[in-house]
Amino acid sequence: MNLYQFSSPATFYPVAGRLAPWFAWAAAICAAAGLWIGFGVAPTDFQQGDAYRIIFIHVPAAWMSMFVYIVMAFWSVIALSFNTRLSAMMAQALAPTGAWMTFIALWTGAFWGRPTWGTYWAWDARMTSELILLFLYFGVIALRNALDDPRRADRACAVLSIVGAVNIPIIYYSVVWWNTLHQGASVSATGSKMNTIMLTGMLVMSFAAWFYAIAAVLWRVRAIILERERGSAWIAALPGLARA
Amino acid sequence: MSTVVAAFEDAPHYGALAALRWGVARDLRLAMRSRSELAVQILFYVIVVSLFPLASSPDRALLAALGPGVLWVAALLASLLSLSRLFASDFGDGTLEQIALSPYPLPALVGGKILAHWLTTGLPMVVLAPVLALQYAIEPYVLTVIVLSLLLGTPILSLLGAIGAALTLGARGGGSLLALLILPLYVPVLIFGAGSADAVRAGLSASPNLSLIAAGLLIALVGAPFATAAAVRIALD
Amino acid sequence: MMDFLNMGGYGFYVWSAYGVTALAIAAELASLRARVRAAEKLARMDKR
Repeated sequence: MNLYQFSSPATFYPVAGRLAPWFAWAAAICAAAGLWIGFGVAPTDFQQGDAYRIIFIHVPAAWMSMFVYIVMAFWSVIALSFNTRLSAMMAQALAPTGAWMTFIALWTGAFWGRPTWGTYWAWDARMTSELILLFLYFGVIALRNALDDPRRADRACAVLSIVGAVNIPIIYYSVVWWNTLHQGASVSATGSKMNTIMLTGMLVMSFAAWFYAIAAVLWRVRAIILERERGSAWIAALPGLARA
Repeated sequence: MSTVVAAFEDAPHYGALAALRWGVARDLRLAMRSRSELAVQILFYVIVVSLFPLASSPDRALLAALGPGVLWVAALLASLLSLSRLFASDFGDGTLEQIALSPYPLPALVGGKILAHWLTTGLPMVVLAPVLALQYAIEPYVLTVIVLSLLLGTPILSLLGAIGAALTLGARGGGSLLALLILPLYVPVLIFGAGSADAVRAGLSASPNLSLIAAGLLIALVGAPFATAAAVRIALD
Repeated sequence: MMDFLNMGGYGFYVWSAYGVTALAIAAELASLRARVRAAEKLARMDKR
């Protein structure tokens, strides 16, 4: 199958429309399963009591906040290298979802930190760099809105995303490089020290967050395609545009 | 065969160093012609630094603790304010387009402008820091570290700021947009810059923080001119 | 049930966290729906 045909907005639009509901349902099912494990099955933590259950949304949101930025930077590289419109549209669609994930990670982290560390906020390395990540997302979105020419905005936001990508390793390794408040990595490629049930719940919720992000981004890129490809013949020929 | 070789050997050489020299010389000459604009920017730095002791108590211990951070934040703000003149006037009268069309490498030409920006904005802040530090009862050994951190860090501010200035050329939102784009990138520089002085005040060594700033400077020196050149070309299309 | 809401004394924090997350998801989906509908409306207007 020739995958390059999907780099055309006209070809990708219906594909995204068919894929998005599947990912949305998968997200809902994983979330239901993950929350069942997290609240119904997982035991109370010895040290943190039931406050630790915030982990089931905090960690997935934090992982997604970084992952979405990496994907956005990836599509930015593709857009600059191959000058493809759809790659830039994908980068454009990813930014708001990434910003929401970052906000959720920061908020849930603050409400987890208050009962366990005694403070909603501490200027430790990981929290500070995650906050910087939120500002980086805002910057990309603001630059997109400030530039009138969509192709110039594509390239400018691509450059900005790539420059800001240096922040991601800083967030990820901050708990290794600095001995500060936020706990170290509990999960790595080689294994985990976490209780198995808690780990399973966290991983299931991570998949829920991932599938949700995919669905949201696919829906958003469809809206962006319609906005930016206005006047195209293929849009005029589209059946079933929703009634007002 | 020898004519072919001669053709290559006789070809004009558009070197990076020549481009750098040209960029610095031109921008310095232009800056010297509007010295009052430079003075205004330096005065802004001086005034901002002077505001904090007025706003908080004149308790010497508190001021000594605040001092490095204030000097650094003021450096960030002054740098942000001055970035708009890096490309804006050249963009407005079409000179930037001519510069981009030149056979000389654009990263080098842009690098020259960035160097001139640092010489007229960052370097004065480094030189003034000891004088301004008098307001903050900062000890001499801490002052040395502050000056060193500013010396290493202010070029990074110019380098990263140039990327932002090029990206936002002619965009709506002006200076606030530039601040939103650049300040997140500035924050690590600020943290390590002010952190080096805090470390010394706590009796630790400043070299971890200073080493990290130096590393950041090297990365910015290598990467920023190319990113800025790309952003300039994007703005000119 | 009360134990579930109380979360061992940490109910305020746990439910604030989950509550704001639910709000954030709802807000994102609502704004997405509005954006998609606006884009489709524009496309329909161009059709005529």
